[in-house]
Amino acid sequence: MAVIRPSGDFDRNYNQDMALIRKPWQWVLLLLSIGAVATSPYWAPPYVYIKANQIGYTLIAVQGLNILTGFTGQISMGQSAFMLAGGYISALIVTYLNLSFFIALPLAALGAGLVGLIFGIPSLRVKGFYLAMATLAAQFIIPWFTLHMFPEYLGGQNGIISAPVPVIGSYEFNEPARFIHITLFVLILTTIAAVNISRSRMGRAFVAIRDNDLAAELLGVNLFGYKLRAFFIAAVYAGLAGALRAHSSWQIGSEMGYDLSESIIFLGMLVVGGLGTNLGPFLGTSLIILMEDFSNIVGTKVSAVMLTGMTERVLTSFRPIFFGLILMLFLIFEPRGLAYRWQLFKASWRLRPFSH
Amino acid sequence: MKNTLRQRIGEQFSLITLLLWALRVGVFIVVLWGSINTLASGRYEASTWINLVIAGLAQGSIYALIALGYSLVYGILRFINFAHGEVFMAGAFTSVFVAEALERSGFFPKYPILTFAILLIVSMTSSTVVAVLLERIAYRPLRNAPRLVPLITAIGASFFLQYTFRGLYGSGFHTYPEFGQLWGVWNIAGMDIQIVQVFVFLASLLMMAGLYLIVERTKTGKAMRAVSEDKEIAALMGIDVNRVIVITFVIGGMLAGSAGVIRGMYQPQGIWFFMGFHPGLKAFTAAVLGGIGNIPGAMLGGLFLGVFETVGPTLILQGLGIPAANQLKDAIAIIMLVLVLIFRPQGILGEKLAEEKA
Repeated sequence: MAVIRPSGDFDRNYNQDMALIRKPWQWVLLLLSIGAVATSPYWAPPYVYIKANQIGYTLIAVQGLNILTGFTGQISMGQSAFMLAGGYISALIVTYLNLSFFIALPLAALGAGLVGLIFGIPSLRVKGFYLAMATLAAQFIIPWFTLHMFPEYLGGQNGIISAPVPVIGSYEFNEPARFIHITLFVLILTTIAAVNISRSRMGRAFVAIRDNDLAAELLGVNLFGYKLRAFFIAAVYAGLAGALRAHSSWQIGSEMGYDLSESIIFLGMLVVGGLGTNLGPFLGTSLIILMEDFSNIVGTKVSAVMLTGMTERVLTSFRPIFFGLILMLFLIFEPRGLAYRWQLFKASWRLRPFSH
Repeated sequence: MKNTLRQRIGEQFSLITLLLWALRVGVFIVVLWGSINTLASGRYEASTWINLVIAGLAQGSIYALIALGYSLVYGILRFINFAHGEVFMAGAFTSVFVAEALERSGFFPKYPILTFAILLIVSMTSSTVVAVLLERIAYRPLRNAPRLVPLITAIGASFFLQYTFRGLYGSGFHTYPEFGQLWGVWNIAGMDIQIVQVFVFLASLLMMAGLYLIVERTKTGKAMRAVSEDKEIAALMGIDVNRVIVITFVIGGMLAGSAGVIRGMYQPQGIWFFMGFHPGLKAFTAAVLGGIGNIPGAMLGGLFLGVFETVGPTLILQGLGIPAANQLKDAIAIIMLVLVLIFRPQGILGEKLAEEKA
């Protein structure tokens, strides 16, 4: 995606060429928006920072999926199961090894990554839809594992264990207003990593595999190795997201929304935002999560004019219906997602007042 | 000489082949070990196993009916209709309301056979409508898009259908009225065989025979085969490709609808908006197992999966001492799918999958 730049704007040295953020005002905007999110507990209503926290950890999982599905072209429907693995590992480490959450977090990411590697093995032989079905296995096996194995540690049939509140010194991150700082920090790290992966040798190999795996192999890309690396990275991201989610809601269990539909929603967020772009996950995740509340409002309005018995039904179904519709409409009318629209918008703005 | 030998060994035993062989041997050992353990423990008699197999055949014939829908569509469009499970759900879920109404009005106890026919018609109609709408709205605009795109659309459509039906009919469970005549037991050669299982099996065989006649003996069937061979050439021969595709979806929808009613006869409980997902997944597994795009393959795959799924957890997993083996049914189906995809992607009967696979 070549960036269209106004005439006279060119790089004078390699540092400028490599810079992710080119202009001082871009730095200002970036720092301002990070600052706005970081300070939101002090000036915004609770809704804002609670949602920001939720968007934050979901975003990390979607970024991981983006590396796997968007860049490498390997469709995965197991992302929320890897989140579950990450959350459990982190909660167990903190509870039983008495380590700090901030040590458990990278360990959980690593553990989830290893789990992801196992489920990535089928990518050796199968692709496309078949691979999606193979990754679905994760969605069955991991929750089964947490429900039936080691009941004394994993919560057994009850399926819920508590995830201790992270602590630094005596400062407890026990509510979204405080936890959002951890989420934001991790999100910044994962974003930097994702952006740099996408423009490194590994990222180029991923894209080559996505575009034509046969050609990529002929050019010397080790298909199996790079596919597994993509699975590992995606699962590491999911592990981070799962640990964050577990510790911000104080508990984790397989019945708490780590099921297949969650994985599908991640996929939908990615498609709506734009596959294979670093901006896509941000746009898609925010849109879908905010749409959830929007659809509740619309649902209330719609159900007001419907039969009285229907109200509750319509409300509970509205969000998935909206989601399915948006996903289908995006794929039919704009399969490149919101990120592409944003690109077009920026380009037209840069070229103003000339249309070509 | 030594050098070439080493090269040859290196070629034959690269890391990946080694890994695959290790996996093969591992799976084989696990299956063998589990089976031997269970059989040696002598917990079950021979008649138990036979009953399990018959139950598996009944279950498998329902999978086979749904699997045919996947296979037909794949044969023609080379893409997997992930929302086909929801087509099945649409039929079963709609007809359960008719069944409940008929039972309340007292019509059902009087004319059970007529009721069955009505249910079949209702279920097939609603499934067919859903399938055709799906094709028209979600798949036709994307027919020339990259492969990944209609796939994700199908996932979105499946989600949309599930929750639209939930919005329409509510999220509660419904139950089919029981056909009393079917719930007896036949005693054949000293074994108790449930009549309903025989009925399910025969009804499904009848549907499949009908499908086979349509595909092999009618002009439409010939057109379908031609389109699955080559869309463009078929169009040049004067076949209306769009019409054939719609007909394919209609047939798939009718089979799924009939599967819905048959499932209602066999397992009256648990009719709700999410009921299409697992059978859909299993049916897809069955279709792949038999060789996707292959009609006898889908039937065979369905039956095999049904038997494997009922016998497998008891035979293999209990021998390994895994707790709650029966809850792993779904995982077993998926694992089997993965193993089939890794070791024999063309399935039992299928020809070699070309590059076109998904």
